[in-house]
Amino acid sequence: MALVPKKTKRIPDGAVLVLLCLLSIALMTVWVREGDSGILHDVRAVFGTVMAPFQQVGSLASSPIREVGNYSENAGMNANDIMELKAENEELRASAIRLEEYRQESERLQKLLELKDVYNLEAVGARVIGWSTDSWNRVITINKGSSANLTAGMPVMNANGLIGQTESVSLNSSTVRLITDERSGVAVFLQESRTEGVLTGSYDGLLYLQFIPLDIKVDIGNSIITSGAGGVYPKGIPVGEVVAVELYPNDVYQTIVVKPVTRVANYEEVLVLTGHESEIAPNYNAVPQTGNTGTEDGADGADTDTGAGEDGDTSQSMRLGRYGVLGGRWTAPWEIREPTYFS
Amino acid sequence: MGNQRTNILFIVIGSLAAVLLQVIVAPNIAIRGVVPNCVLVFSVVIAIYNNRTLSCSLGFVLGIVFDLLSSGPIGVMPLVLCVLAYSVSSLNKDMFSGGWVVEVLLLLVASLLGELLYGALLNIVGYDIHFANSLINRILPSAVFDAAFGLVVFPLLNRFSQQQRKEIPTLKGKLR
Repeated sequence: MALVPKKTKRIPDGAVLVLLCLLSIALMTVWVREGDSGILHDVRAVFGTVMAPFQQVGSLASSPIREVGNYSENAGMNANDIMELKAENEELRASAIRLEEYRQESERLQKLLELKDVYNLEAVGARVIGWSTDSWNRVITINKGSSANLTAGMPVMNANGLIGQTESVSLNSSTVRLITDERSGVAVFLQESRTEGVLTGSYDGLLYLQFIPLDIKVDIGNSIITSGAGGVYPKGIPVGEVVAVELYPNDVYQTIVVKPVTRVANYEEVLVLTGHESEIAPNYNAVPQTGNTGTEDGADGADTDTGAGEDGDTSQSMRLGRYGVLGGRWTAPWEIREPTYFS
Repeated sequence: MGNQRTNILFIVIGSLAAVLLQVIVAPNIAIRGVVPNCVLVFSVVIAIYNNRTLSCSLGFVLGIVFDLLSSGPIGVMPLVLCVLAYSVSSLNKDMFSGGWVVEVLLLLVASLLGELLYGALLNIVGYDIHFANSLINRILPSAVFDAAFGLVVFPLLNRFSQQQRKEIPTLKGKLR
């Protein structure tokens, strides 16, 4: 009796495709249904922890390239640009002196008004170790996670202003969704007019300020700061400045384009705000106003401690006082706007 | 048998390299937020010279890894790469006797379709995707970027491709 070799049954190609497609759809369904936490989120967190060192390698390897990019950007400046920058520097120095006067004045006035502390910020410094691996999400990865008591939803900023908020947290790394992402939205107000709106990201990397009525005067260069509404971001963090205002006759609101105060390429170290309280209790009626200000908030001076040692260690927890990074480029809103005069 | 083992080894090493490239290199060469999709490029290249089951399965695995790396929903990229790899693998292999130009063009079209499908699926799972904006700012630049990335990668894979070509029975071969 001759032995006939057994024919191995081969699964049809189409069946494999259908099976894998169904599996993918099942994964998507589970992902959508499990919301903000679940097994797939946990798997991603573990995967994030494993991949964090590789991302760090990439970040370290690419830092010279980014430096070259910055250098070439600066090298491209002509004499006029340098002159303009020098002039701007002079103006800023003068402005800084003036602002210091306003700060001290504000301190005195607030003592008179017995305003409570507005903010009580605590922050953890972190390094950026990775950027988005796909084109559809504008996120960064930082080297601090749940081991540093970070949780999802914490505001993230650098010395210039707001960057975004933590979205997913693993043991030693976290993903931060940037405010320039299409799915980001920040409650803000125009610093000059104190009009509240919502700042959303876009595909082109710019921000759009929404829900500003047509009768509100908005000028190019107006500063945008967080309003504190919603409770996610503390009040008074700079977000951007107006670069274009478009008015269409049939629109209810203005179309306002805002340039973020920070560039993604410049993110190296960031601060994650682990705790902030808003205890605004001003008595507005008691303040006789002659200036252009609406709400009055603020408090006295603040100590600054960025927590980053000389060796670049940003691990220690920082207490930013009430206003965050004073002495850096971030200043509280009351320091920038015109002072309120009392009769 | 030896060739098959070499092929599997190549796919495993290539997949690891593609994932590492996606993590380490791709984010750092992004232009205005557009990141090349190394995983997609590798899946398409493998699908050109391999059977549908293998290509489809590899696409699924690489898709899951890609989704775990990104911050989007999990399950979208596996579906995209499965369908894409299966479709590319189903094409007549004689098409690719013309050389790398056809391969890069195919990669461009595959990337375009892949990103379109990805965007559509994101919309289904609840992302607010504006079609016109995403087409201009995401899909088209990504496809071009992937094709450009493919131009760099193809010479590296050329040796492998040539080896695979010899194993593919072409129509000319049959006529002779």
